[in-house]
Amino acid sequence: MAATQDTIDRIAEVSGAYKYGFVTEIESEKAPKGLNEDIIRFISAKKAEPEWLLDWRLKAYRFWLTMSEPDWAKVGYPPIDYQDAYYYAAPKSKDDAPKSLDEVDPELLRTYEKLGIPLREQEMLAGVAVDAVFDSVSVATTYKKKLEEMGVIFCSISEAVRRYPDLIQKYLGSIVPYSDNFFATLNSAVFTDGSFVYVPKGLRCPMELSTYFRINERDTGQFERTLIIADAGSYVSYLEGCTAPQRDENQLHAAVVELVALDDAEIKYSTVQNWYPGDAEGKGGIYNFVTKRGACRGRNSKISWTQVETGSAVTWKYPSCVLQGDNSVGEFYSVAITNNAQQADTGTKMIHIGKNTRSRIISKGISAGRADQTYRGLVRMMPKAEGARNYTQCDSLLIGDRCGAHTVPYIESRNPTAQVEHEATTSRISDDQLFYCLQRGIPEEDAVALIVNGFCKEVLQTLPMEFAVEAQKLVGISLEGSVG
Amino acid sequence: MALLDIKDLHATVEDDTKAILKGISLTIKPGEVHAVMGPNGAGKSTLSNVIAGRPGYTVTGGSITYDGQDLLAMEADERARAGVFLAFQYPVEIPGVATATFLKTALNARRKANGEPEIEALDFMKMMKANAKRLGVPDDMLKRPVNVGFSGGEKKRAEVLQMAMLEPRLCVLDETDSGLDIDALKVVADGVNALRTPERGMLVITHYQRLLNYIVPDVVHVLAGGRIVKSGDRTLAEELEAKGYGAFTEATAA
Amino acid sequence: MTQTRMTDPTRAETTTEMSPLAPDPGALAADEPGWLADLRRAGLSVYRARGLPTVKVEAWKYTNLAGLKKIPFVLDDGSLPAAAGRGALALALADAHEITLVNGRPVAVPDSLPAGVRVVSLAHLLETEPAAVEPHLGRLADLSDAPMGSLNAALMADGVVIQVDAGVALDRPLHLVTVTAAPDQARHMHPRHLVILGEGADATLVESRVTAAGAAETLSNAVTEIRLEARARLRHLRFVNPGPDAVDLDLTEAVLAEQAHYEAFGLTLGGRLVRNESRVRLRGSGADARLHGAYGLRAGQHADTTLIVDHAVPDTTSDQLYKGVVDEGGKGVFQGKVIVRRDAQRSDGNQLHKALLLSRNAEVYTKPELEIYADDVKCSHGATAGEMDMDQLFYLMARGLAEADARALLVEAFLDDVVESVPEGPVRDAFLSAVRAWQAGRHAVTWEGSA
Repeated sequence: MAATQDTIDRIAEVSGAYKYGFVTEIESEKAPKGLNEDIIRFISAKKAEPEWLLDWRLKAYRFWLTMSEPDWAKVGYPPIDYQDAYYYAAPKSKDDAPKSLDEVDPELLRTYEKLGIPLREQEMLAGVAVDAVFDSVSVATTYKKKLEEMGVIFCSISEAVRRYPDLIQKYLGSIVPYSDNFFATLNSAVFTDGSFVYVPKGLRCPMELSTYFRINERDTGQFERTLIIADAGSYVSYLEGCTAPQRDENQLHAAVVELVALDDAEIKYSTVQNWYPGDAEGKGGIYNFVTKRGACRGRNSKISWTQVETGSAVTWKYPSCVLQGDNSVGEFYSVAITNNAQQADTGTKMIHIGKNTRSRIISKGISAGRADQTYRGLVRMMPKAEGARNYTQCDSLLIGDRCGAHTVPYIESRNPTAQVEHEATTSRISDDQLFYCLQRGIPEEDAVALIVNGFCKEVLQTLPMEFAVEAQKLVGISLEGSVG
Repeated sequence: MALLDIKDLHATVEDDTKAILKGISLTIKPGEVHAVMGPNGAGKSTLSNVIAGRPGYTVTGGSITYDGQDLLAMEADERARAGVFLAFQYPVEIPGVATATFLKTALNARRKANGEPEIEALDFMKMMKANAKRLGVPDDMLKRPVNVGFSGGEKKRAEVLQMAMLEPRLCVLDETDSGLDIDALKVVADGVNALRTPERGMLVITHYQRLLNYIVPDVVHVLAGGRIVKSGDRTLAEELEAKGYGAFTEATAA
Repeated sequence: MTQTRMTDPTRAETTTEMSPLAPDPGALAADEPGWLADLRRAGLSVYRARGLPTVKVEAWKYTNLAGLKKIPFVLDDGSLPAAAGRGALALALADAHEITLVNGRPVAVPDSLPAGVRVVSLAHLLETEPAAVEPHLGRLADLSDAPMGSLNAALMADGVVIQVDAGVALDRPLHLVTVTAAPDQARHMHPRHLVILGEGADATLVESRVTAAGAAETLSNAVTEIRLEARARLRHLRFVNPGPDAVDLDLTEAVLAEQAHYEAFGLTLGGRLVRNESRVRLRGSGADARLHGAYGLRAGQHADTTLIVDHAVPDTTSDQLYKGVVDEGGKGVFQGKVIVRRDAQRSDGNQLHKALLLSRNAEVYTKPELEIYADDVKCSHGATAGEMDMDQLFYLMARGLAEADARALLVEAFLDDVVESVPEGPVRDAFLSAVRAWQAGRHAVTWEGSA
């Protein structure tokens, strides 16, 4: 309830500007521009990685050289020069990694405070542990100790490579193989950091785990890799947020997220993606080309993706569930807002392999300005998916007559006992709804934000409380200038 | 000073040259309740929509002055924040937006425009619950999305609840009695009567005299063919009921 | 797909398919008018550039033509005698003007047609009166993205031209019985039809696509171009029931002017590999297209329905409704697309596909697509796939029906639901009987599996 008013305040507060568009002046260490085997060796050496991981990276890189960029998505952008970017940028610090927050550059801490993510534990929202990734590296993980006492591992993936090599070797690339797709393969070659989570058997992780990604440096690509393992009977809720400074040039973000849920385990993964979308003319902004996939390996396991996508110039993203275990459940809740010149091609894949697997897809797309948005989804019922069920609801809202909203579902049924149901609608905010709000004294932009928040409610209410409020505000901010 | 002063108002539906309102004049002083009665197609809804500033109508002549301001120069939301409230004949559904959220947003929009701070959450809840109770609006309705799945009676009660919460200076009730059974009509009328104050004016638009048994007007206007053909006190409504609109519309044609 | 290419596609299909289908440019007829030669050359160059579509081509993702390369097809040369005859499996329509085609060439045309209606052979017209064909042929259909349609342009030899003058309403349906025949050797053929209805004209066109008994493999790759002038109405009802060795590819492109109505129904029960692709362009306000259909598939059958409705101007409406029943070893594909162009405000486009999978190894692939660039529109789509409703089945069995009978009843009811929407009474009855006959064929097989 309060959030609606907050939306209005926030709109007034930022008045059209991208709030997170500041640049942090901080000394950083960068590898030379460009991509080649030496750079990959440099990254691997910088992180003191074992031989097998370097080999894996190189294998990915060599495979990547044989691939071509996917061209099937309904997005267009000028060719990316992969040699004209830094593949490693890290805030300079005395050691490889800070041992505690006291060692973290105060400028960095201030950056996160500006973003609304205080890293100092005493200032933190109760019950949320944060891993902060700044450009290429993880700069701080909070509540680490407390989590460790319970057996939860929550650290940067670089640290996990050093401390938990067995887990990494077992799971890294096991859900998204290095050869998966152009961007995931690139990520496999050059990933620099990201978060790692392991929740032990039977534990219900008592706090939300959160990673906050921030691209700061110019000409930097961000290639983080996240791996979450929920062991049998465990539960974890994980939040991811992203911002970037306002820059005229485009920056590439090609992340990979892998989730594994074993027997009776549940992972809830929420994203509020607010990378810089470029200016109203479409100049600048992040290319968000992300591969996210969860494997419900165990029986009765569950993976739930919730995403609120408001940022980025171009989004290419399909968080997916591979439902292997019998009775496993996959969910995808999405709100995607594109305004001005933004383009998004996003959706999900639900691959039903096991018996009685269930999936549910709720997608709400809002397109405004000159933006183009596509829902692209795959529901595949494999021959052994006895009694499987899918329900998909895809609604698009158009604001103005210069934008586009498209729906491209692929539904593949290869088992007669599997039921698939798909519904989609395309509409606009009705004049009657808008006038009703105006007549109650609500200004037009606020009215649009209110109605759109209502349109998205089913998705927004699946977010953890702290994020839901943030997300509601974002809905309003993202649509600024879309009416009138 | 008059609260609402309509002078020789002419209006058409957008993209159409056919006049719907052909010279309406009426003046409502603070504390007065005026009823506008008329047959279908007389221009009743056009009048309420033009006052509220609904897009799709073109004012081709005349003026509306509200509390000394040129109402026609104001946007619909400005009019609302200035205290003009329209109780809709067909309140629209807004899926996903809880009634309480909607009300709070509307209330704060007005407070903000007046340079007042936002209402405290607790005060808002107290105020809403008190009003809801008086109007027989159950708590669960406040949590439900605006008008979604509401029955005809619930929708009208919710409109009056909003009116009570937003404390307008001028209330325009557009066929608030339509679709109500007699019990619901009484509840709604009681709610409206409770809002009659010496400062507040009301324009009650209706097809039937029935509503005016419960909301007793100070002045009754008969609207036919886009013009006010007769004005009088409450007995005019009874006369209408007895004679039918025919007698009056013929008079206009003549 | 209409996306912008972002990188230089190293896999640009510049390789020529070395299949028997690949035509030799020298084979193109030499003594034709220049515009026709140009049309053939353009078709050939598209086909040579793109080749036989593979499943990597989005529009052919679920229909694999690779098997065609293994069949030693020869191009039909029109040498078969007319006596190859009317296929026994064609619809029985007593009261219709019947036109019989063998391998795409008209062999019997009705001798008496109402004034203002013309039905002639395309080859004949090209020879005697090319100017009558030139404004339409290849002008209605944009085949630049359609390799098979382009191949048709390169190789088309004959077909039917149907013209109905302005204001003329045809008294009885035209019934096109197209028979494919290959008594000696596998044959491929490329029929090309033109249907032109003048302003306010009204006609029903029925097609029966069947195969002569004892045929080797046949590949029919047809293109039909339809133009409906203002207020014209065409009911286009197709029964696709070729033999088990028939590959039947059809691409129909219809262009509608103001207030024109195109009401199509496709019933597919036969063939090894069938693709019915319809592209309807709503170019005049008030234009309306209704594309309905049903299919029933068994072992070894693959049927692909690909529909594109393009709302190019404001105030146009369309409705797609298809239902399919797929039995063991059958494969159904439905790709439906609604495009609403920028400024095509107040368009109303709906799409629904429902599939019933009757047993193991039945497969259905659905891709219902919306591409919307205007905001004041009402568009929706729905798709379902799954097995028979067990509650309904149980209900019928509880009333004493044997399981096989109960299932048969439910399958029929499922298909009849859409077949009932066929606008022409006698054709509807013929379609309903065809569904009955198809269903009766099921009883030979035992029910298994899903219960």
